[in-house]
Amino acid sequence: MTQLPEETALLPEETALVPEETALVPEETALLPEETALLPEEFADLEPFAERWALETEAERYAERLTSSMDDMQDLYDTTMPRMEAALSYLDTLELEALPGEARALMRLLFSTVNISFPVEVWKQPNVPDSGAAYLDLHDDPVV
Amino acid sequence: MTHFPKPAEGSWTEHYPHLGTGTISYEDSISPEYFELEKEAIFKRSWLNVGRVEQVPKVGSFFTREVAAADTSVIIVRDRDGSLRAFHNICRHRGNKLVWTDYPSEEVAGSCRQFTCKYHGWRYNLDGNLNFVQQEDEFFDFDKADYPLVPVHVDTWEGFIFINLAPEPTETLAESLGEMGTGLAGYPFGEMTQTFGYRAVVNANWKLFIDAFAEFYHAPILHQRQSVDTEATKLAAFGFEALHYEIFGDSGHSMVSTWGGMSPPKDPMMVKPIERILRSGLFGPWDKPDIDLSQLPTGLNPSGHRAWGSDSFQIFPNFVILVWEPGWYLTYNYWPLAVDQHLFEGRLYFAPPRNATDRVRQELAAVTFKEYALQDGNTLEATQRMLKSRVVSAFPLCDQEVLCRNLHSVARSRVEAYRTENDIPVVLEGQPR
Repeated sequence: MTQLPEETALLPEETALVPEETALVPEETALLPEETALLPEEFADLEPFAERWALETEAERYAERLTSSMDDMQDLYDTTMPRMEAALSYLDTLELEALPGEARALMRLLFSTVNISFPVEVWKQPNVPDSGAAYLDLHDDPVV
Repeated sequence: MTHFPKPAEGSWTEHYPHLGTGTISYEDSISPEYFELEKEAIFKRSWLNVGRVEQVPKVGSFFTREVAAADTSVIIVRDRDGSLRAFHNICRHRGNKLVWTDYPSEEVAGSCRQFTCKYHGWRYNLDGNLNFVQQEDEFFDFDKADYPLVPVHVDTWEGFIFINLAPEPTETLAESLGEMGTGLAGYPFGEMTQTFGYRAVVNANWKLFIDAFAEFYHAPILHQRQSVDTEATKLAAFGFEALHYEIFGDSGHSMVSTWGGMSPPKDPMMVKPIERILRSGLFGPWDKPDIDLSQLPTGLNPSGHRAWGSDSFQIFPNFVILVWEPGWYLTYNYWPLAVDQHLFEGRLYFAPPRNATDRVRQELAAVTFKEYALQDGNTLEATQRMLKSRVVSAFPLCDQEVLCRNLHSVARSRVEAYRTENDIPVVLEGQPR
Protein backbone atom coordinates (compact mmCIF):
# COMPACT_ATOMS: atom_id res chain seq x y z
CA MET A 1 0.00 0.00 0.00
CA THR A 2 2.74 2.42 0.89
CA GLN A 3 4.18 1.84 -2.56
CA LEU A 4 1.26 3.48 -4.28
CA PRO A 5 2.56 7.06 -4.30
CA GLU A 6 5.85 5.80 -5.75
CA GLU A 7 4.06 4.01 -8.57
CA THR A 8 2.09 7.11 -9.27
CA ALA A 9 5.33 9.02 -9.45
CA LEU A 10 6.53 6.67 -12.16
CA LEU A 11 3.70 7.74 -14.44
CA PRO A 12 3.98 11.53 -14.51
CA GLU A 13 2.22 12.04 -17.82
CA GLU A 14 -0.86 9.99 -17.05
CA THR A 15 -1.00 11.49 -13.62
CA ALA A 16 -0.95 14.92 -15.13
CA LEU A 17 -3.96 14.03 -17.27
CA VAL A 18 -6.07 12.86 -14.34
CA PRO A 19 -5.02 15.03 -11.45
CA GLU A 20 -8.24 14.62 -9.43
CA GLU A 21 -8.36 10.84 -9.45
CA THR A 22 -4.70 10.57 -8.68
CA ALA A 23 -5.15 12.82 -5.74
CA LEU A 24 -7.77 10.46 -4.35
CA VAL A 25 -5.48 7.45 -4.26
CA PRO A 26 -3.11 8.47 -1.48
CA GLU A 27 -6.06 9.65 0.61
CA GLU A 28 -7.91 6.34 0.30
CA THR A 29 -4.75 4.49 1.09
CA ALA A 30 -4.35 6.58 4.15
CA LEU A 31 -7.85 5.63 5.32
CA LEU A 32 -7.12 1.93 5.27
CA PRO A 33 -5.42 0.29 8.23
CA GLU A 34 -1.83 -0.73 7.63
CA GLU A 35 -2.78 -4.39 7.15
CA THR A 36 -6.12 -4.81 5.41
CA ALA A 37 -7.65 -8.23 5.92
CA LEU A 38 -8.11 -10.16 2.69
CA LEU A 39 -10.09 -13.02 4.24
CA PRO A 40 -13.38 -13.17 6.15
CA GLU A 41 -12.95 -12.38 9.87
CA GLU A 42 -13.78 -15.97 10.84
CA PHE A 43 -10.62 -17.08 9.06
CA ALA A 44 -8.19 -14.54 10.51
CA ASP A 45 -5.90 -17.45 11.41
CA LEU A 46 -5.29 -18.05 7.66
CA GLU A 47 -4.63 -14.38 6.96
CA PRO A 48 -0.78 -14.66 7.02
CA PHE A 49 -1.01 -16.87 3.93
CA ALA A 50 -3.57 -14.87 1.97
CA GLU A 51 -1.43 -12.29 0.23
CA ARG A 52 1.00 -14.86 -1.11
CA TRP A 53 -1.38 -17.73 -1.88
CA ALA A 54 -4.88 -16.33 -2.59
CA LEU A 55 -4.06 -16.19 -6.29
CA GLU A 56 -6.59 -15.82 -9.06
CA THR A 57 -5.43 -18.35 -11.64
CA GLU A 58 -4.11 -21.90 -11.58
CA ALA A 59 -1.09 -20.66 -13.55
CA GLU A 60 -0.18 -18.24 -10.74
CA ARG A 61 -0.74 -20.85 -8.03
CA TYR A 62 1.34 -23.44 -9.86
CA ALA A 63 4.14 -20.93 -10.51
CA GLU A 64 4.18 -19.95 -6.82
CA ARG A 65 4.41 -23.61 -5.88
CA LEU A 66 7.36 -24.30 -8.17
CA THR A 67 9.40 -21.50 -6.60
CA SER A 68 8.42 -22.20 -2.98
CA SER A 69 10.32 -24.16 -0.36
CA MET A 70 8.83 -27.33 1.09
CA ASP A 71 8.82 -25.64 4.51
CA ASP A 72 6.63 -22.82 3.23
CA MET A 73 4.22 -25.23 1.57
CA GLN A 74 4.12 -27.41 4.68
CA ASP A 75 3.17 -24.31 6.71
CA LEU A 76 0.33 -23.48 4.35
CA TYR A 77 -0.85 -27.08 4.35
CA ASP A 78 -0.67 -27.52 8.13
CA THR A 79 -2.65 -24.34 8.70
CA THR A 80 -5.33 -24.64 6.04
CA MET A 81 -6.05 -28.37 6.08
CA PRO A 82 -7.60 -28.42 9.57
CA ARG A 83 -9.74 -25.43 8.47
CA MET A 84 -10.82 -26.90 5.14
CA GLU A 85 -14.21 -28.19 6.28
CA ALA A 86 -15.05 -25.00 8.17
CA ALA A 87 -14.04 -22.91 5.17
CA LEU A 88 -16.22 -24.94 2.82
CA SER A 89 -19.19 -24.77 5.20
CA TYR A 90 -18.79 -21.01 5.27
CA LEU A 91 -18.45 -20.70 1.50
CA ASP A 92 -21.33 -23.06 0.77
CA THR A 93 -23.76 -20.60 2.36
CA LEU A 94 -22.86 -18.10 -0.37
CA GLU A 95 -23.78 -17.88 -4.04
CA LEU A 96 -20.76 -19.26 -5.92
CA GLU A 97 -21.33 -16.93 -8.87
CA ALA A 98 -21.40 -13.86 -6.63
CA LEU A 99 -18.81 -14.41 -3.91
CA PRO A 100 -17.81 -11.27 -1.99
CA GLY A 101 -14.11 -10.35 -2.22
CA GLU A 102 -13.01 -11.96 1.05
CA ALA A 103 -14.87 -15.18 0.32
CA ARG A 104 -13.30 -15.24 -3.12
CA ALA A 105 -9.85 -14.87 -1.55
CA LEU A 106 -10.62 -17.72 0.86
CA MET A 107 -11.68 -19.89 -2.08
CA ARG A 108 -8.43 -19.12 -3.89
CA LEU A 109 -6.46 -19.96 -0.77
CA LEU A 110 -8.17 -23.36 -0.73
CA PHE A 111 -7.24 -23.82 -4.40
CA SER A 112 -3.60 -23.18 -3.48
CA THR A 113 -3.85 -25.76 -0.73
CA VAL A 114 -5.16 -28.22 -3.31
CA ASN A 115 -2.30 -27.24 -5.63
CA ILE A 116 0.43 -27.89 -3.05
CA SER A 117 -1.12 -31.07 -1.65
CA PHE A 118 0.80 -33.49 -3.87
CA PRO A 119 4.20 -31.95 -3.02
CA VAL A 120 3.43 -32.00 0.70
CA GLU A 121 1.57 -35.30 0.99
CA VAL A 122 3.56 -37.40 -1.44
CA TRP A 123 6.64 -36.15 -3.25
CA LYS A 124 8.39 -33.84 -0.76
CA GLN A 125 9.39 -31.73 -3.74
CA PRO A 126 7.53 -28.97 -5.62
CA ASN A 127 7.16 -30.71 -8.98
CA VAL A 128 5.94 -34.13 -9.95
CA PRO A 129 8.84 -36.65 -10.20
CA ASP A 130 10.35 -37.10 -13.66
CA SER A 131 8.46 -34.16 -15.14
CA GLY A 132 11.59 -32.10 -15.91
CA ALA A 133 10.79 -29.18 -18.18
CA ALA A 134 7.40 -30.60 -19.18
CA TYR A 135 4.54 -28.15 -18.83
CA LEU A 136 0.78 -28.26 -19.20
CA ASP A 137 -0.94 -24.90 -19.34
CA LEU A 138 -4.49 -24.46 -18.12
CA HIS A 139 -5.53 -22.04 -20.87
CA ASP A 140 -9.23 -22.51 -20.10
CA ASP A 141 -9.40 -21.94 -16.33
CA PRO A 142 -12.82 -21.49 -14.67
CA VAL A 143 -11.49 -18.68 -12.51
CA VAL A 144 -13.32 -17.89 -9.27
CA MET B 1 -3.12 -64.14 -12.93
CA THR B 2 -6.33 -63.15 -14.66
CA HIS B 3 -8.83 -61.25 -12.54
CA PHE B 4 -11.29 -60.42 -15.29
CA PRO B 5 -12.46 -62.80 -18.04
CA LYS B 6 -10.91 -62.63 -21.50
CA PRO B 7 -12.44 -63.67 -24.85
CA ALA B 8 -12.69 -67.36 -25.78
CA GLU B 9 -9.57 -67.08 -27.95
CA GLY B 10 -7.58 -66.67 -24.73
CA SER B 11 -6.59 -63.03 -25.17
CA TRP B 12 -7.99 -59.72 -26.37
CA THR B 13 -5.33 -59.51 -29.05
CA GLU B 14 -6.13 -62.93 -30.52
CA HIS B 15 -9.81 -61.98 -30.51
CA TYR B 16 -8.77 -59.62 -33.33
CA PRO B 17 -6.58 -62.02 -35.34
CA HIS B 18 -5.70 -59.51 -38.06
CA LEU B 19 -3.55 -57.68 -35.49
CA GLY B 20 -1.24 -60.63 -34.90
CA THR B 21 0.79 -61.06 -31.73
CA GLY B 22 4.26 -60.31 -33.11
CA THR B 23 6.62 -57.50 -32.27
CA ILE B 24 5.96 -54.08 -33.81
CA SER B 25 8.24 -51.43 -35.26
CA TYR B 26 8.01 -47.76 -34.33
CA GLU B 27 9.54 -46.62 -37.59
CA ASP B 28 6.08 -45.10 -38.20
CA SER B 29 6.78 -42.66 -35.35
CA ILE B 30 10.26 -41.52 -36.42
CA SER B 31 10.24 -41.45 -40.23
CA PRO B 32 9.72 -37.91 -41.57
CA GLU B 33 8.71 -39.32 -44.97
CA TYR B 34 6.05 -41.50 -43.37
CA PHE B 35 4.77 -38.52 -41.38
CA GLU B 36 4.26 -36.58 -44.62
CA LEU B 37 2.14 -39.46 -45.92
CA GLU B 38 0.12 -39.55 -42.69
CA LYS B 39 -0.77 -35.90 -43.22
CA GLU B 40 -2.17 -36.66 -46.67
CA ALA B 41 -3.69 -40.07 -46.00
CA ILE B 42 -5.11 -39.42 -42.55
CA PHE B 43 -5.35 -35.78 -41.49
CA LYS B 44 -6.47 -34.34 -44.81
CA ARG B 45 -9.31 -36.85 -45.16
CA SER B 46 -10.55 -38.03 -41.75
CA TRP B 47 -13.24 -36.46 -39.57
CA LEU B 48 -11.35 -34.43 -36.96
CA ASN B 49 -12.87 -33.21 -33.72
CA VAL B 50 -12.26 -29.48 -33.34
CA GLY B 51 -14.44 -28.59 -30.36
CA ARG B 52 -17.96 -28.60 -28.94
CA VAL B 53 -21.13 -26.74 -29.80
CA GLU B 54 -20.99 -24.87 -26.46
CA GLN B 55 -18.08 -22.91 -27.99
CA VAL B 56 -20.38 -21.41 -30.66
CA PRO B 57 -23.59 -20.73 -28.72
CA LYS B 58 -25.13 -17.96 -30.85
CA VAL B 59 -25.22 -16.47 -34.34
CA GLY B 60 -21.78 -15.07 -35.13
CA SER B 61 -19.91 -17.10 -32.48
CA PHE B 62 -16.72 -18.42 -34.03
CA PHE B 63 -13.37 -19.98 -33.26
CA THR B 64 -10.35 -20.85 -35.36
CA ARG B 65 -8.44 -24.10 -35.35
CA GLU B 66 -4.86 -24.53 -36.52
CA VAL B 67 -4.51 -27.87 -38.29
CA ALA B 68 -0.77 -28.10 -38.88
CA ALA B 69 -1.09 -31.72 -40.03
CA ALA B 70 -3.14 -30.45 -42.97
CA ASP B 71 -1.15 -27.22 -43.37
CA THR B 72 -4.21 -25.04 -42.81
CA SER B 73 -6.26 -23.01 -40.36
CA VAL B 74 -10.03 -23.38 -40.21
CA ILE B 75 -12.79 -21.01 -39.04
CA ILE B 76 -15.83 -22.62 -37.41
CA VAL B 77 -18.82 -20.27 -37.11
CA ARG B 78 -22.54 -20.28 -36.26
CA ASP B 79 -24.35 -18.88 -39.31
CA ARG B 80 -27.52 -16.72 -39.29
CA ASP B 81 -29.75 -19.73 -39.90
CA GLY B 82 -28.30 -21.42 -36.82
CA SER B 83 -26.26 -23.96 -38.77
CA LEU B 84 -22.55 -24.51 -38.28
CA ARG B 85 -20.17 -23.63 -41.07
CA ALA B 86 -16.45 -24.10 -41.52
CA PHE B 87 -14.05 -22.39 -43.92
CA HIS B 88 -10.38 -22.39 -44.65
CA ASN B 89 -9.10 -19.30 -42.85
CA ILE B 90 -7.78 -17.59 -45.98
CA CYS B 91 -8.84 -14.35 -47.71
CA ARG B 92 -9.62 -14.86 -51.41
CA HIS B 93 -7.82 -11.66 -52.37
CA ARG B 94 -4.10 -12.21 -51.70
CA GLY B 95 -4.14 -15.16 -49.33
CA ASN B 96 -3.85 -13.41 -46.01
CA LYS B 97 -5.04 -15.31 -42.97
CA LEU B 98 -8.54 -13.92 -42.47
CA VAL B 99 -9.20 -14.29 -38.74
CA TRP B 100 -6.38 -13.83 -36.22
CA THR B 101 -5.26 -11.41 -33.52
CA ASP B 102 -1.71 -10.28 -32.79
CA TYR B 103 -0.04 -13.63 -33.51
CA PRO B 104 -0.72 -15.21 -36.92
CA SER B 105 0.01 -18.72 -35.60
CA GLU B 106 -2.41 -18.56 -32.66
CA GLU B 107 -6.04 -19.62 -32.46
CA VAL B 108 -8.72 -17.08 -31.62
CA ALA B 109 -12.40 -17.16 -30.63
CA GLY B 110 -15.12 -14.56 -30.43
CA SER B 111 -18.28 -13.28 -31.97
CA CYS B 112 -18.84 -11.13 -35.07
CA ARG B 113 -21.35 -10.14 -37.76
CA GLN B 114 -18.95 -10.70 -40.63
CA PHE B 115 -15.27 -11.45 -41.22
CA THR B 116 -13.08 -8.55 -42.32
CA CYS B 117 -9.59 -9.10 -43.68
CA LYS B 118 -6.97 -6.99 -41.91
CA TYR B 119 -5.00 -6.50 -45.11
CA HIS B 120 -7.31 -4.74 -47.60
CA GLY B 121 -10.64 -4.83 -45.81
CA TRP B 122 -12.47 -7.49 -47.83
CA ARG B 123 -15.52 -8.66 -45.91
CA TYR B 124 -17.29 -12.00 -45.85
CA ASN B 125 -20.72 -12.96 -44.50
CA LEU B 126 -21.01 -15.75 -41.92
CA ASP B 127 -22.07 -18.01 -44.82
CA GLY B 128 -18.72 -17.31 -46.50
CA ASN B 129 -19.99 -15.07 -49.29
CA LEU B 130 -17.85 -12.07 -50.14
CA ASN B 131 -19.97 -8.95 -49.48
CA PHE B 132 -17.54 -6.03 -49.74
CA VAL B 133 -14.44 -5.28 -51.74
CA GLN B 134 -12.47 -2.10 -51.15
CA GLN B 135 -12.42 -0.06 -54.43
CA GLU B 136 -14.23 -2.84 -56.23
CA ASP B 137 -14.26 -0.92 -59.54
CA GLU B 138 -10.45 -1.07 -59.68
CA PHE B 139 -10.63 -4.84 -60.31
CA PHE B 140 -10.99 -6.47 -63.73
CA ASP B 141 -13.97 -8.58 -64.88
CA PHE B 142 -14.83 -8.91 -61.24
CA ASP B 143 -17.85 -10.57 -59.60
CA LYS B 144 -17.87 -10.94 -55.83
CA ALA B 145 -19.92 -14.13 -56.20
CA ASP B 146 -16.82 -15.80 -57.66
CA TYR B 147 -14.78 -15.33 -54.47
CA PRO B 148 -16.49 -16.90 -51.45
CA LEU B 149 -14.47 -18.42 -48.60
CA VAL B 150 -13.38 -21.99 -49.31
CA PRO B 151 -15.76 -24.24 -47.38
CA VAL B 152 -14.73 -27.17 -45.18
CA HIS B 153 -17.10 -30.06 -44.41
CA VAL B 154 -18.42 -29.75 -40.86
CA ASP B 155 -20.87 -31.88 -38.85
CA THR B 156 -21.70 -32.63 -35.24
CA TRP B 157 -22.24 -35.76 -33.17
CA GLU B 158 -23.57 -35.49 -29.60
CA GLY B 159 -22.47 -31.84 -29.53
CA PHE B 160 -18.90 -32.58 -30.68
CA ILE B 161 -17.92 -30.61 -33.79
CA PHE B 162 -15.93 -32.42 -36.48
CA ILE B 163 -14.43 -31.15 -39.71
CA ASN B 164 -13.24 -33.06 -42.76
CA LEU B 165 -10.70 -31.39 -45.04
CA ALA B 166 -11.26 -33.73 -48.01
CA PRO B 167 -12.97 -32.07 -51.00
CA GLU B 168 -15.49 -34.95 -50.88
CA PRO B 169 -15.29 -37.09 -47.72
CA THR B 170 -15.60 -40.80 -48.47
CA GLU B 171 -18.05 -41.22 -45.59
CA THR B 172 -20.32 -39.05 -43.46
CA LEU B 173 -19.44 -38.34 -39.84
CA ALA B 174 -22.20 -40.74 -38.70
CA GLU B 175 -20.86 -43.47 -41.00
CA SER B 176 -17.35 -42.84 -39.79
CA LEU B 177 -18.31 -43.09 -36.11
CA GLY B 178 -20.47 -46.12 -36.84
CA GLU B 179 -21.24 -48.56 -34.05
CA MET B 180 -19.04 -46.72 -31.57
CA GLY B 181 -20.99 -43.51 -32.17
CA THR B 182 -24.42 -45.07 -31.73
CA GLY B 183 -23.24 -46.88 -28.59
CA LEU B 184 -22.27 -43.64 -26.88
CA ALA B 185 -25.19 -41.54 -28.13
CA GLY B 186 -27.42 -40.13 -25.42
CA TYR B 187 -24.77 -39.58 -22.75
CA PRO B 188 -25.45 -36.14 -21.19
CA PHE B 189 -22.28 -34.54 -22.60
CA GLY B 190 -24.15 -31.27 -23.14
CA GLU B 191 -24.96 -30.90 -19.43
CA MET B 192 -21.31 -31.02 -18.38
CA THR B 193 -20.36 -27.48 -19.26
CA GLN B 194 -17.82 -26.63 -16.56
CA THR B 195 -14.51 -27.12 -18.36
CA PHE B 196 -10.81 -27.06 -17.56
CA GLY B 197 -8.74 -26.92 -20.77
CA TYR B 198 -5.05 -27.89 -20.73
CA ARG B 199 -2.57 -27.67 -23.54
CA ALA B 200 1.12 -28.44 -24.11
CA VAL B 201 3.52 -29.06 -26.94
CA VAL B 202 4.99 -32.53 -26.44
CA ASN B 203 8.18 -33.57 -28.22
CA ALA B 204 6.92 -36.96 -29.32
CA ASN B 205 5.03 -38.42 -32.26
CA TRP B 206 1.25 -37.99 -31.89
CA LYS B 207 0.61 -41.75 -31.85
CA LEU B 208 2.90 -42.28 -28.87
CA PHE B 209 0.69 -40.17 -26.58
CA ILE B 210 -2.44 -41.91 -27.81
CA ASP B 211 -0.66 -45.20 -27.04
CA ALA B 212 0.16 -43.96 -23.54
CA PHE B 213 -3.47 -43.25 -22.70
CA ALA B 214 -4.80 -46.30 -24.58
CA GLU B 215 -3.12 -48.71 -22.16
CA PHE B 216 -3.13 -48.59 -18.37
CA TYR B 217 -0.42 -51.26 -18.09
CA HIS B 218 1.91 -48.32 -17.31
CA ALA B 219 -0.24 -46.78 -14.59
CA PRO B 220 0.80 -48.74 -11.46
CA ILE B 221 4.48 -48.24 -12.36
CA LEU B 222 4.98 -44.81 -13.93
CA HIS B 223 2.58 -43.20 -11.50
CA GLN B 224 3.41 -45.20 -8.40
CA ARG B 225 4.83 -42.19 -6.59
CA GLN B 226 1.42 -40.52 -6.87
CA SER B 227 -0.15 -42.94 -4.40
CA VAL B 228 0.34 -43.44 -0.70
CA ASP B 229 3.19 -45.95 -0.21
CA THR B 230 1.29 -49.05 0.85
CA GLU B 231 -1.20 -48.53 -1.94
CA ALA B 232 1.54 -48.04 -4.55
CA THR B 233 3.10 -51.40 -3.64
CA LYS B 234 -0.26 -53.13 -3.83
CA LEU B 235 -1.11 -51.55 -7.19
CA ALA B 236 2.25 -52.51 -8.67
CA ALA B 237 1.86 -56.12 -7.48
CA PHE B 238 -1.65 -56.33 -8.93
CA GLY B 239 -0.69 -54.70 -12.24
CA PHE B 240 -3.46 -53.71 -14.60
CA GLU B 241 -6.18 -55.62 -16.36
CA ALA B 242 -9.00 -54.03 -18.29
CA LEU B 243 -12.60 -55.17 -17.96
CA HIS B 244 -13.09 -55.07 -21.71
CA TYR B 245 -11.53 -54.00 -25.00
CA GLU B 246 -13.39 -53.35 -28.22
CA ILE B 247 -12.00 -52.65 -31.67
CA PHE B 248 -14.67 -51.33 -34.02
CA GLY B 249 -13.89 -53.04 -37.34
CA ASP B 250 -11.45 -51.17 -39.56
CA SER B 251 -12.81 -47.75 -38.49
CA GLY B 252 -9.74 -47.19 -36.34
CA HIS B 253 -11.97 -46.53 -33.32
CA SER B 254 -11.51 -48.59 -30.19
CA MET B 255 -12.32 -48.56 -26.50
CA VAL B 256 -11.03 -49.85 -23.19
CA SER B 257 -13.25 -50.34 -20.15
CA THR B 258 -11.66 -50.14 -16.73
CA TRP B 259 -12.56 -50.95 -13.15
CA GLY B 260 -12.65 -48.02 -10.75
CA GLY B 261 -11.90 -48.79 -7.16
CA MET B 262 -11.06 -45.22 -6.18
CA SER B 263 -14.25 -43.27 -6.49
CA PRO B 264 -14.91 -43.60 -3.64
CA PRO B 265 -12.19 -46.02 -2.48
CA LYS B 266 -13.18 -49.09 -0.49
CA ASP B 267 -10.78 -48.06 2.24
CA PRO B 268 -10.32 -44.30 2.72
CA MET B 269 -6.75 -44.91 3.89
CA MET B 270 -5.90 -45.92 0.32
CA VAL B 271 -5.94 -42.28 -0.73
CA LYS B 272 -4.22 -39.05 0.28
CA PRO B 273 -5.55 -36.95 3.18
CA ILE B 274 -6.81 -34.13 0.96
CA GLU B 275 -8.74 -36.64 -1.13
CA ARG B 276 -10.38 -38.01 2.00
CA ILE B 277 -11.36 -34.54 3.16
CA LEU B 278 -12.60 -33.32 -0.22
CA ARG B 279 -13.97 -36.63 -1.53
CA SER B 280 -12.31 -36.19 -4.91
CA GLY B 281 -9.15 -37.16 -6.77
CA LEU B 282 -7.82 -38.45 -10.07
CA PHE B 283 -11.04 -40.34 -10.74
CA GLY B 284 -13.06 -37.18 -10.13
CA PRO B 285 -15.43 -36.07 -7.37
CA TRP B 286 -16.75 -39.16 -5.57
CA ASP B 287 -20.34 -37.94 -5.39
CA LYS B 288 -22.45 -37.75 -8.51
CA PRO B 289 -23.76 -34.44 -9.87
CA ASP B 290 -27.45 -33.57 -10.34
CA ILE B 291 -27.55 -35.17 -13.77
CA ASP B 292 -29.61 -38.24 -14.56
CA LEU B 293 -27.10 -41.04 -15.10
CA SER B 294 -29.48 -43.91 -14.33
CA GLN B 295 -29.79 -44.98 -17.97
CA LEU B 296 -26.32 -45.11 -19.48
CA PRO B 297 -25.91 -45.63 -23.24
CA THR B 298 -25.32 -49.26 -24.21
CA GLY B 299 -21.76 -48.53 -25.32
CA LEU B 300 -20.66 -47.71 -21.76
CA ASN B 301 -19.54 -50.45 -19.38
CA PRO B 302 -19.94 -53.09 -22.11
CA SER B 303 -19.05 -55.95 -19.74
CA GLY B 304 -21.73 -54.81 -17.31
CA HIS B 305 -19.27 -55.05 -14.43
CA ARG B 306 -20.40 -53.72 -11.06
CA ALA B 307 -16.90 -52.30 -10.40
CA TRP B 308 -16.90 -50.30 -13.62
CA GLY B 309 -14.88 -47.08 -13.34
CA SER B 310 -14.28 -45.52 -16.75
CA ASP B 311 -14.37 -46.10 -20.49
CA SER B 312 -11.88 -44.57 -22.87
CA PHE B 313 -12.90 -44.27 -26.54
CA GLN B 314 -10.12 -43.73 -29.08
CA ILE B 315 -11.76 -42.01 -32.04
CA PHE B 316 -9.51 -42.31 -35.07
CA PRO B 317 -7.30 -40.57 -35.76
CA ASN B 318 -6.57 -38.16 -32.90
CA PHE B 319 -9.50 -37.79 -30.51
CA VAL B 320 -10.28 -39.52 -27.21
CA ILE B 321 -13.38 -39.35 -25.00
CA LEU B 322 -12.97 -40.76 -21.50
CA VAL B 323 -16.21 -41.19 -19.54
CA TRP B 324 -15.91 -41.63 -15.76
CA GLU B 325 -18.47 -43.55 -13.78
CA PRO B 326 -18.97 -40.75 -11.19
CA GLY B 327 -20.46 -38.52 -13.89
CA TRP B 328 -17.88 -36.44 -15.72
CA TYR B 329 -15.70 -36.83 -18.79
CA LEU B 330 -12.38 -35.93 -20.37
CA THR B 331 -11.35 -35.34 -23.96
CA TYR B 332 -7.89 -35.49 -25.50
CA ASN B 333 -6.91 -34.12 -28.90
CA TYR B 334 -3.49 -34.82 -30.37
CA TRP B 335 -2.48 -32.39 -33.14
CA PRO B 336 0.67 -33.42 -35.01
CA LEU B 337 3.16 -30.61 -35.59
CA ALA B 338 6.08 -32.70 -36.90
CA VAL B 339 7.08 -36.35 -36.88
CA ASP B 340 8.49 -35.89 -33.38
CA GLN B 341 6.17 -33.20 -31.98
CA HIS B 342 2.49 -32.62 -31.34
CA LEU B 343 0.14 -30.30 -29.51
CA PHE B 344 -1.64 -32.16 -26.73
CA GLU B 345 -4.97 -30.83 -25.50
CA GLY B 346 -6.78 -32.27 -22.51
CA ARG B 347 -10.15 -30.98 -21.35
CA LEU B 348 -12.14 -31.94 -18.25
CA TYR B 349 -15.94 -31.53 -18.34
CA PHE B 350 -18.01 -31.40 -15.15
CA ALA B 351 -21.55 -30.46 -14.25
CA PRO B 352 -21.62 -26.77 -13.29
CA PRO B 353 -20.64 -26.56 -9.58
CA ARG B 354 -23.62 -26.01 -7.27
CA ASN B 355 -21.47 -24.52 -4.53
CA ALA B 356 -17.91 -23.96 -3.31
CA THR B 357 -17.49 -27.58 -2.25
CA ASP B 358 -18.29 -28.83 -5.75
CA ARG B 359 -15.88 -26.30 -7.21
CA VAL B 360 -12.98 -27.21 -4.88
CA ARG B 361 -13.55 -30.90 -5.61
CA GLN B 362 -13.29 -30.15 -9.32
CA GLU B 363 -10.09 -28.20 -8.69
CA LEU B 364 -8.55 -31.25 -6.98
CA ALA B 365 -9.53 -33.52 -9.90
CA ALA B 366 -8.11 -31.03 -12.42
CA VAL B 367 -4.85 -30.45 -10.54
CA THR B 368 -4.40 -34.21 -10.12
CA PHE B 369 -5.03 -34.78 -13.83
CA LYS B 370 -2.28 -32.28 -14.60
CA GLU B 371 0.29 -34.06 -12.39
CA TYR B 372 -0.32 -37.38 -14.11
CA ALA B 373 -0.31 -35.89 -17.61
CA LEU B 374 3.00 -34.12 -16.91
CA GLN B 375 4.62 -37.45 -16.09
CA ASP B 376 3.09 -39.08 -19.14
CA GLY B 377 4.14 -36.28 -21.49
CA ASN B 378 7.72 -36.17 -20.26
CA THR B 379 8.08 -39.94 -20.51
CA LEU B 380 7.01 -39.78 -24.15
CA GLU B 381 9.80 -37.38 -24.91
CA ALA B 382 12.19 -39.94 -23.44
CA THR B 383 10.65 -42.62 -25.65
CA GLN B 384 10.85 -40.53 -28.80
CA ARG B 385 14.53 -39.74 -28.21
CA MET B 386 15.49 -43.39 -27.99
CA LEU B 387 13.23 -44.69 -30.77
CA LYS B 388 15.07 -42.28 -33.03
CA SER B 389 18.34 -44.10 -32.32
CA ARG B 390 16.95 -47.09 -34.27
CA VAL B 391 19.07 -49.32 -32.01
CA VAL B 392 16.00 -51.52 -31.55
CA SER B 393 13.35 -52.05 -34.20
CA ALA B 394 11.18 -54.86 -32.84
CA PHE B 395 9.09 -54.16 -29.74
CA PRO B 396 6.83 -56.69 -27.99
CA LEU B 397 3.34 -55.56 -26.94
CA CYS B 398 1.34 -57.36 -24.29
CA ASP B 399 -2.37 -58.12 -24.33
CA GLN B 400 -3.17 -54.98 -22.32
CA GLU B 401 -1.57 -52.96 -25.14
CA VAL B 402 -3.89 -54.26 -27.84
CA LEU B 403 -5.23 -50.78 -28.64
CA CYS B 404 -1.70 -49.48 -29.34
CA ARG B 405 -1.34 -52.32 -31.82
CA ASN B 406 -4.63 -51.35 -33.42
CA LEU B 407 -3.81 -47.63 -33.78
CA HIS B 408 -0.51 -48.23 -35.55
CA SER B 409 -2.08 -50.93 -37.72
CA VAL B 410 -5.00 -48.76 -38.87
CA ALA B 411 -2.82 -45.69 -39.47
CA ARG B 412 -0.44 -47.81 -41.53
CA SER B 413 -3.31 -49.32 -43.55
CA ARG B 414 -4.61 -45.84 -44.40
CA VAL B 415 -1.16 -44.69 -45.46
CA GLU B 416 -0.57 -47.80 -47.58
CA ALA B 417 -3.96 -47.43 -49.30
CA TYR B 418 -3.21 -43.79 -50.11
CA ARG B 419 0.30 -44.64 -51.30
CA THR B 420 -0.97 -47.35 -53.63
CA GLU B 421 -3.78 -45.18 -55.04
CA ASN B 422 -1.33 -42.40 -55.82
CA ASP B 423 1.59 -44.53 -57.06
CA ILE B 424 3.89 -43.29 -54.31
CA PRO B 425 7.02 -45.40 -53.69
CA VAL B 426 7.27 -47.53 -50.54
CA VAL B 427 8.29 -45.55 -47.46
CA LEU B 428 8.14 -48.22 -44.75
CA GLU B 429 9.16 -51.82 -45.44
CA GLY B 430 6.91 -54.71 -44.49
CA GLN B 431 3.17 -55.09 -44.56
CA PRO B 432 0.78 -53.33 -42.25
CA ARG B 433 -0.74 -55.63 -39.66
